[in-house]
Amino acid sequence: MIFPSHTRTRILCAWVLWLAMLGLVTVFMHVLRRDIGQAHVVLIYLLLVLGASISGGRPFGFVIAGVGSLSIDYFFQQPFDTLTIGKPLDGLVLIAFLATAVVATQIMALAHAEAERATAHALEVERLSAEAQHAGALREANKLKDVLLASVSHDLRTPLTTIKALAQDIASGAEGAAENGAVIVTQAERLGRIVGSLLDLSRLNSESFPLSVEVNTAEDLVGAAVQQFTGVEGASRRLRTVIDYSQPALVGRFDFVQSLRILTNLIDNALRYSPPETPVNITVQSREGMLGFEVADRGVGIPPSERIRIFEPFYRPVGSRPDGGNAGLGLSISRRLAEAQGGTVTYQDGAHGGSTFALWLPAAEGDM
Amino acid sequence: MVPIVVLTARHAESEKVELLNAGADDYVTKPFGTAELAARVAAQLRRTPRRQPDLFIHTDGFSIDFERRIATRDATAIRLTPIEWGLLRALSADPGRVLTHQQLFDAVWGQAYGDVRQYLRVHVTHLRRKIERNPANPSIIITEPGVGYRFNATK
Repeated sequence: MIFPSHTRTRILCAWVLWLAMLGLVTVFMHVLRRDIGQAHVVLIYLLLVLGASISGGRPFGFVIAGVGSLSIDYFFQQPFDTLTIGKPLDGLVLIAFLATAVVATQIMALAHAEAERATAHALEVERLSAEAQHAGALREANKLKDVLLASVSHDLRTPLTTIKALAQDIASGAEGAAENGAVIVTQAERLGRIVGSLLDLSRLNSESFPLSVEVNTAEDLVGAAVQQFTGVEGASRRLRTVIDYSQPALVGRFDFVQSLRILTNLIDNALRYSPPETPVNITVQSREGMLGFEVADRGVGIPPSERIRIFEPFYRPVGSRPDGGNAGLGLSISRRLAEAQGGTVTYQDGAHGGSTFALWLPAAEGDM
Repeated sequence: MVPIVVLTARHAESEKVELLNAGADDYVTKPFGTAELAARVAAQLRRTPRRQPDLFIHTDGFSIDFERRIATRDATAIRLTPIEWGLLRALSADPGRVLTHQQLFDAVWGQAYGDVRQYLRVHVTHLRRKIERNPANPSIIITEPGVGYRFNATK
């Protein structure tokens, strides 16, 4: 086995240290050898063998065991200062000492190797699980990309087909150029929206979405959201904002423009997926350090089986028209945008039937 | 003085804010409708040459008399704080023009106070509660998301 240089130095130090200990102990016991029994000597040498094999490994343990048994024979067994074995029992003691020392060293070395294997194994497991996680994320990203491509090609092709057909009509000098032109404008706007949404989704996924989080009031956000629906047919009659003006203004810390997009998206969905002329209520509440903007409609609600999927990209309600004008990205972008600001978007059943979507954003501390 | 309407392909609010802070009067972003562009240019031309700010403004049941410092909503007097007077003064000096958060802040607080622009939005909310019919759907002080506010005196 080849050790790195710092390991070699450490082992060298251990050898020097334990050999010095052996010498010291031997000198000490040599002085006292008339007063101590053979058992003491043997036990103390055994301790040395154990210590040496822990810090220096198997070969070192064997060396100390060998030197130890020679010292016992030479210094502490009568006749002193010779290697002659006087009594048969002394020979047995020596053999027992050697055997015990060797076995102990072996066990130590095995335990040490086992511990090292376990550490290496744990590291390996850790590395593998990190790799698996990474692979999972990549698979997820890849899956999203596949879904994206499939949906994009479909969503982009539909308006493009319309635009191409109508433009060909106009180019050939057919009648109704004005009407065709108007449809082309609508379809082009739809294409623009889809492209914008896709760009946002990809930026949100790569976490490079620029946000400017500032102190804003809830009323300002609600007002600006309602403003977005000025001129939309029937919307202003249906939208109802309920704010208690006897209470201090609710203040939050969020990106106004992006939060406005989320709230506008929730209101747009509520208007779109509930019967005409039914009200859509917008309320704000403050709870546990968060501001909750709730948008409640009187539609059919969302069946329990669909609730997890509504926040996934490209989700469309069952039975909705495939070319309903949106790519099914609104809610997934909304939730990611809210999460990027430390909030979220949640769904719950409405009190009067229908759906209630809530945008949660961090409230601001202190009175202002 | 020639009014400036910027036609830009840049969508980021920070860029619009920079443009307005740099002296532009309004902006139109691509994709835009020609009718919208024409209307915005016409609106700017109507306001030229800049007249002296009105001392008396009446819009949608809300009146301000800057000379006598009296504000009324539907003939009921409204108490306004000095900051709220400042906001009204700055916004109504040029009805229809977008004032960025920075411009409004500079006009009301002055630059010496440093960047406490966050209070601006809270003060505007308080002001709206006093002067708007429906503060959650304002018709006098209009939010330009991410950019600033606009005083609407058309009604």
